[in-house]
Amino acid sequence: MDLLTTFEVGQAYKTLMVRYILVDADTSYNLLIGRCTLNQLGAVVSTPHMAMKFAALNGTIITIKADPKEAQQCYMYSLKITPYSLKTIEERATQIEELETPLAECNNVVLEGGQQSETETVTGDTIGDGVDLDPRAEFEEGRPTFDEPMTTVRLGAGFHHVTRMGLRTHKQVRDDVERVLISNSDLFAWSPTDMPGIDPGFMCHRLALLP
Amino acid sequence: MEVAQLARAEFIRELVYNTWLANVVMVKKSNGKWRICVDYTDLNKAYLKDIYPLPSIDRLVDNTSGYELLSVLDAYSEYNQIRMYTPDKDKTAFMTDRSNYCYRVMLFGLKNADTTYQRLMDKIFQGLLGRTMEVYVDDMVVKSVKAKGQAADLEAVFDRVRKHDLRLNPEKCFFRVWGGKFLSFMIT
Repeated sequence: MDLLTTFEVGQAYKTLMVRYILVDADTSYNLLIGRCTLNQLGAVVSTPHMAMKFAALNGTIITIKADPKEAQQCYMYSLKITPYSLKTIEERATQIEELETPLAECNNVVLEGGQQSETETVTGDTIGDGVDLDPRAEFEEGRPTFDEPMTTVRLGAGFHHVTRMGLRTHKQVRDDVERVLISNSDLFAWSPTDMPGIDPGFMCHRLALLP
Repeated sequence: MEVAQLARAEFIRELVYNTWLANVVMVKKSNGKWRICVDYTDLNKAYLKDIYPLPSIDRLVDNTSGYELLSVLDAYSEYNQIRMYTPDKDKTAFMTDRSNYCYRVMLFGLKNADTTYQRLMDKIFQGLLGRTMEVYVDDMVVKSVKAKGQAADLEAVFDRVRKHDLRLNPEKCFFRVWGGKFLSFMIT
């Protein structure tokens, strides 16, 4: 959705056409301003000062300051919504100053953290218990989980040979995607033995190091 | 015990007459499992950082906005799908209480693992990237402007996956998710 958006303090203002993306999310923000808009504004943002400066059309410099009290409230509210990982909360807090005034955003949303919930599943289980051969599990906090209703689709012989699909699509699309998944079920690995590995001639990892 | 499993999965093999040797640390993961972790601090100091460009995570979000349907794919045991260059295998040597081993596959602890992985993804999905697909290291997103295009877009991606013997981890894949939901995940 494109909206003409005015950033103003008193007499000084700047008006931009900003593309918004509407997202149905439980969050304490009304808007997030993305990099595109910040760049278009020529804005300089300072997190410790909770302020943002940019030049108005008439050349005066506009300073938009955040209300620390309001920022604190937003922060507290964001804590209540869902138990996010701590790192994410901190990152969210740095975003809060962008909330005040009728500010706007373009199509980018900056945080990369995600909800942490049942992402840690059973990667290594097929070859042993207690250990997990997937090295990333430590770094997995940002793996996606969706609040869209999900269903599982069976791809292999066993009951655990499933993957997840969203449910909010037309039946036709659901069937098409399911058909493609099932006909490509050999591309899913259930244990390391299902993994042929990339042809070393195509790609292998070299260390830039003399013997 | 984990060493035996790594060996069974043919990720590592025994090694004699090694020039490099690293220590092993066991790390407890958040899910309570133990993970073997080789400390390559010294080895990583000895070679240059790969300057292959990694895309920015912001771009992934920008470029998936406005699409009706998305699927998130995940590669099985991802980095380990890439083999080590044979003469370099010996340098990944690490010691255990019984024997010395070295890696046959690329592992997380090597400092250029992420760029090698991105390079592989860029090669495999050349031509699809930016059109029906976005990749940020281990995050793969298949995107369709219209929901009904998703099946065909996925098929094109699967063709590449098959051609290059990549394997996916069904546990961490999410198919046909509404675009808005993906963004809301990215925000929250």
